[in-house]
Amino acid sequence: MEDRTQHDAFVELHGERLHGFALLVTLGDRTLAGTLTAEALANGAERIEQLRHPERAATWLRAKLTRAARQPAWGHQRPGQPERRNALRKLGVDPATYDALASLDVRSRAVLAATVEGFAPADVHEVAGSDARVRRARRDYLTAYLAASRTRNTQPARGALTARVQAAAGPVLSGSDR
Amino acid sequence: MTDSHAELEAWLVDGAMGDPPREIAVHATLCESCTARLGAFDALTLIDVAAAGSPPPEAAPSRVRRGVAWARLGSAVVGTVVAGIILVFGASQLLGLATRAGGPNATALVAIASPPLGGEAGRSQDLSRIEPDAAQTPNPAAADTPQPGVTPGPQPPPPPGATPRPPTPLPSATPGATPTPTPTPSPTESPSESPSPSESPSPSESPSESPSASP
Repeated sequence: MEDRTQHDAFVELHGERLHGFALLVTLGDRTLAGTLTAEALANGAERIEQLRHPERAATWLRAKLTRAARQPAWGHQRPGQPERRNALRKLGVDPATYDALASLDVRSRAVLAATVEGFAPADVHEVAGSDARVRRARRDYLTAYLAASRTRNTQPARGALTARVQAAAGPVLSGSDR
Repeated sequence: MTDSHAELEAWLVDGAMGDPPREIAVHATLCESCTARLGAFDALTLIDVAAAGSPPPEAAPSRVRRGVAWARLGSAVVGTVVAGIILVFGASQLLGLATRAGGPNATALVAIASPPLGGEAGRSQDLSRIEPDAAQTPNPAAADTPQPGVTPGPQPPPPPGATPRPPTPLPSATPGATPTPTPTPSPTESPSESPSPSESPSPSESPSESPSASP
């Protein structure tokens, strides 16, 4: 009974975000994402004693899911692109970002998904396997995104990063504005 | 200017840790392409993974699991078949070698156990030196061949000479099929002191009988 409670708590704690991570890694394949999430959670629940620390468990789950996502899913019917786009749009993935993610492999998408989740560099490294892979994934994504946004003629998104850079350059800009 | 692009890109690729140098920040804010670079990673920050909701109940998963299971099963079957082939081939090779090696040994043993007429007393030492394997361990191939000690007919007399025969398969060396009507040697009064292996095709009894058998 207590094990069941622990298991449920584990799934409740990690399930939603891990599912979102899986959707990004599988590029909006709901069925596969659900499967991979369920498997990773089941494996994690078996090691619940070793994964007591939530951050450690979160990293472990994502690394596990990424490894599983790289295996061929024989017999699995892949969804079409509209279905994938629709699944990811609900997470806030814009079309240019989708195009960029679609050009990457599973592990590179996992790097970006972990970045999206705000994982520490060491944890992203654990998910990806090496720092070189992390850098390559970010560089490939940047190149693909710039190409996609040019093709789509979209305005660049403005978010927390742009705000940080503007803040770092703030006094100069405010001077020039005057 | 190009360096500023590259520096901003390097900062982004390295994880955008901390704040960029002020020069780079100023450049990035004013440069259109660098603003687009910032926008690429800002687009990621707009993603909310928690919006995916809970994973669906564990009804769907078996498809992938089944695929992986089939793959594992297939690889296991292939591995087992390959291992079986290797095992059978190796065993047949070993048996072939054993048969080939056992033939001459057996023949040689029989040849030694049923030497021609005549002999000498110290022959057992020579035998043990020449056929160590046959004298110490029972040879199944040799056990199959008819031996003088087993056949109920009269035994051939021990050899007069101590020179052992080379372990060549000689058809004339297989006794038992045609027992020669030679007189049975009578037991000697002075048994040989040489040790005689028990389970081997007992060549040790022959030397003890040999001196008296010769007229």
